[in-house]
Amino acid sequence: MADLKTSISISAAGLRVQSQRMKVIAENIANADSLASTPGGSPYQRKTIHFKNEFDKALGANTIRVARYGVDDSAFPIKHDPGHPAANEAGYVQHPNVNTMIEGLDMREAQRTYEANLSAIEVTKSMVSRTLDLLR
Amino acid sequence: MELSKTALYRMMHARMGYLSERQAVLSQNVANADTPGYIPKDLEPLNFKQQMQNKSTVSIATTHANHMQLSMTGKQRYSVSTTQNSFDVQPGGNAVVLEEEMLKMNQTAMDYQTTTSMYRKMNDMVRTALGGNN
Repeated sequence: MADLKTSISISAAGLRVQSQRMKVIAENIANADSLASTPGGSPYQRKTIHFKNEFDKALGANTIRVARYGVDDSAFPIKHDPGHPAANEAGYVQHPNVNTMIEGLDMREAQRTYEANLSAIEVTKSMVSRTLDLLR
Repeated sequence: MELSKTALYRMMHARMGYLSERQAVLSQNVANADTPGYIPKDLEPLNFKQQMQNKSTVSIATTHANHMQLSMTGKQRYSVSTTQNSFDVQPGGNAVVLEEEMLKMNQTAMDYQTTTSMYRKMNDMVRTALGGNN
């Protein structure tokens, strides 16, 4: 039974990191058009999330956690729009380096892994209830 | 008659312990399905011969009030191996195949159900032997 409780905790950690990932993706999609307000300023920079498989002393098992949040250092795409308040001297505006298609795919992946963790919890739960059924 | 010392009970107990530990390892694989560089793990299959050998547990003598007994709780009791030849390794070095893990997990749950049903049948048999109408 102790191992089954550990399984549920590990799966819950999996759910937690995937929801944190969803938060980052939502932030990126929401800011896909956030431009600078000053001439030549930087627009929204895409955020990234890094996972890590780590030993949890309290749990006594390897689990998962968010290692760190980072930023995507890739170049900002530029568009020629001299009338925009964020345009530089040459008339170019920097746009956020967010690709909504990549974010959408990441979101799908997060959703799938979240579902997988949920079904893992379901299976563990059925094992726990079978054990408790022995008492009947 | 001490029921918990019956070979069958002992084996079923060991099997349930093994299966729940395997479930923990498989949950870890699923949780890390998107962790770069993570290689899935699994427990070595349960060895019938090894199980039949009566492994008596050695307990440490506690001759002082501050002495502590060694306990095996929370430790891996079965050897863990990393899965070799995974057929799908992602560019980030992650080799977890969710379908495979789900299959293994369901297999574990089914084996667990088999063991608990056997446990129950055994209990019923003992109850019959004790007399009464169950």
